[in-house]
Amino acid sequence: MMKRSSKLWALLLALAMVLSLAACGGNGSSDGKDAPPADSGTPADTGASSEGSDQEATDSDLAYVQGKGTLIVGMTDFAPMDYKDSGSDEWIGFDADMAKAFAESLGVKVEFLELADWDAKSMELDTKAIDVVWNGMTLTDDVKALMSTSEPYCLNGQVVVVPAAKADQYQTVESLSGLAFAVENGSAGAEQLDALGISYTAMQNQAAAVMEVASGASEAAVIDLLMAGAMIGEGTSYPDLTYTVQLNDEEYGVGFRKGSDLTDAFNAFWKEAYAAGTVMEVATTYGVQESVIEQ
Amino acid sequence: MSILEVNHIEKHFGATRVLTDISFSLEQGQALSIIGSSGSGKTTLLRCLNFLERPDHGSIAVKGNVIFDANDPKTQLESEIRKKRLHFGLVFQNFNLFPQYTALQNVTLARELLAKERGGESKESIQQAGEELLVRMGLADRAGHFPHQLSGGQQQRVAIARALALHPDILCFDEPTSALDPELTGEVLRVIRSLAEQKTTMIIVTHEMAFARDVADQVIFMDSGVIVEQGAPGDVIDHPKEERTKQFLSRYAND
Amino acid sequence: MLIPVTLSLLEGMGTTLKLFFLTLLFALPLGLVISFGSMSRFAPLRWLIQTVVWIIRGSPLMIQILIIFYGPGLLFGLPLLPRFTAALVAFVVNYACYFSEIYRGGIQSVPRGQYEAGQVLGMTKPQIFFKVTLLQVIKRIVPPMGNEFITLVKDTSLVRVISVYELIWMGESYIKKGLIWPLFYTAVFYLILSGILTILLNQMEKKLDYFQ
Repeated sequence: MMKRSSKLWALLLALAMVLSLAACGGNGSSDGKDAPPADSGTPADTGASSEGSDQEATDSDLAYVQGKGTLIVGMTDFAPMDYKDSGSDEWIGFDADMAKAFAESLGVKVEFLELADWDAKSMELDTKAIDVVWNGMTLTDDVKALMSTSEPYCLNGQVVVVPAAKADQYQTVESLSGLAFAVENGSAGAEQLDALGISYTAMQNQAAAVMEVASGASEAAVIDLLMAGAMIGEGTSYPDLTYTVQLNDEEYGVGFRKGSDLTDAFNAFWKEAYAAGTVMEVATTYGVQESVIEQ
Repeated sequence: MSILEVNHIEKHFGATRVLTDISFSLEQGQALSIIGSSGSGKTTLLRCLNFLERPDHGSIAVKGNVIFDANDPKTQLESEIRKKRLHFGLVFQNFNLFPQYTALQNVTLARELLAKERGGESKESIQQAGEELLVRMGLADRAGHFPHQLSGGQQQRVAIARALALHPDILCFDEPTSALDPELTGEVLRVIRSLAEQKTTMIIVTHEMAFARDVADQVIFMDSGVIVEQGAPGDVIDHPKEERTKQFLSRYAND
Repeated sequence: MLIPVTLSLLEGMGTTLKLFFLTLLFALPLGLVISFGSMSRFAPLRWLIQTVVWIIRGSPLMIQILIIFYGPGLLFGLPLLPRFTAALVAFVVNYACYFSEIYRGGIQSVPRGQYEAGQVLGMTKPQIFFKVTLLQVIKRIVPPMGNEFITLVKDTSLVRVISVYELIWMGESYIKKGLIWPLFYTAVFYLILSGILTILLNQMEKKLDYFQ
């Protein structure tokens, strides 16, 4: 993701600078507290987002969310964490249900916003289009640099998805070289393949990567273990696929705006909910109890 | 009193001077022909009279009222120009009929718009007057036709009816037959001739020398933006005094 | 399966149609205003408008959508427009610029003599525009406008970059459920819409065929 999104960022910021210069030309630049061009011109994504967050730190993000009465959760359709039963309009899943509980603990309503472009999540946070990214998000260094992240709450790993018929040939990391891979652009799976020096076709999301394998367009995909468990194999939409090698261990966390006091509020909420047994109860409903991290 | 008096008109396009010190007058009911080679400024002169161009110097008076004076901005107000234009009618070389309207609608449109603003005339009477004009032009059976369904000669006759519909004091023709096939010029010239017989005040810019001599009470010969010679057609066309006029006319000797 | 999928796609189609018609509603008149600006005799205004049109036409609509939605928050920390509104603003501005060029071409292709004929008949400028030139302009711009309308139908799918749930989004969401065909099925919806448009535009062209 980093490569592509930083390009997008650079482009956006360059255009934004042109616009802000034009705006200054039009209105005069007397209003000094508006984001000065020097800030918006910082070409690094981390720089730009932390600039925004320093301002957040001064006023309480918690108070902001409670003030407007709604916690907007940015997510994608990602079973078993966030999804809808067919025919239903309600988001459910381990993450969705816990997000509802967290919002309730804050005394606000929850609103789920399905993001088109996972790459845009930090931009969505910084512009307050959403308040939290909560969607089986792997805590990579990039993610930690972009936002304020919670304590990890779930274990995960990246696994290789292949057609079940060929599964025996691909049980080791060594056997993977030369395969045509599909992987979500900028995902943790993509990072693993980068580390192994394996090239791949970048897809918009994990589901698209799986579809690549199912259609024969690619020979293998790398997706989250949690997703693979719910999405492929017998009894799912992809009975002819299976997963073999697990490439790494990783942890899921929740992301807030940089410097937000919501992070602490979340950590406290989670400890309490775990102690009360709520977390395990919900996790069991969605079959992810094995992955939940003990608190 | 002359119906039209043009005094010392001068017009530049950028650095090019196209009209120099143009002065003439026209009496009510008379026809004036302006002849001269292309580029001599005769079309520009007509356009000045119709406020399609604005002279840099000089003045124009109609019925004794100064309607344009280059030195007096009050005579050049955009809101006034519209009204002043109605002293003149202009028939274009290329007809410039409105393609989306029938022959009759072309004739009645402007008058209906004026009536809507000022009140008075009913739509029916405008309609009737339009039909009568088309009858006069010999186009009774073409009222419902669209311009592209008419021949060039018919289109030009509709254009003449359109100009007449507003009862201009002076009707101007800008080479009315130049865009027509030779066999179609006759019908248009006949119409103009009959207008002359009815004592319509007219200014006709034309290349048709024989026609100019027959129909005009007065002829102006222009060259390089100046009036070289003016007078009765018997003088200017048959017995020109100036060398330039003789040269010009000799080119038409075989017509 | 076909019926529930069709129903949920129709929901996305609703958003697509809303964006399509609202874009036309605002961009068609705005484009006319911009075209007058780009033909203005006041040179600085003309340059300004022509530069804006160049920027808007020369840069990807997707970036414009992103800037209009995220820009205020990223640059000034201002609250954002609602997603659909931001998408609509981007579309209206973008399409108004395209329309303005079509209007300009149409207006400039009406012969000078038409204006002059109106002038010497004592018509006002608005009268000349509405009674003489407008219909001739419309006749000339219907074919290129038709192309833009069809392009607009398909461009509406771009708004999903800021999570406006239009037709393609609805189709794509089935991929995660393991169904691929709904995505391809959305093409049928676009075909129906552009088919209806094509028929309407052809009728309009025919209606204007009575003059040349």
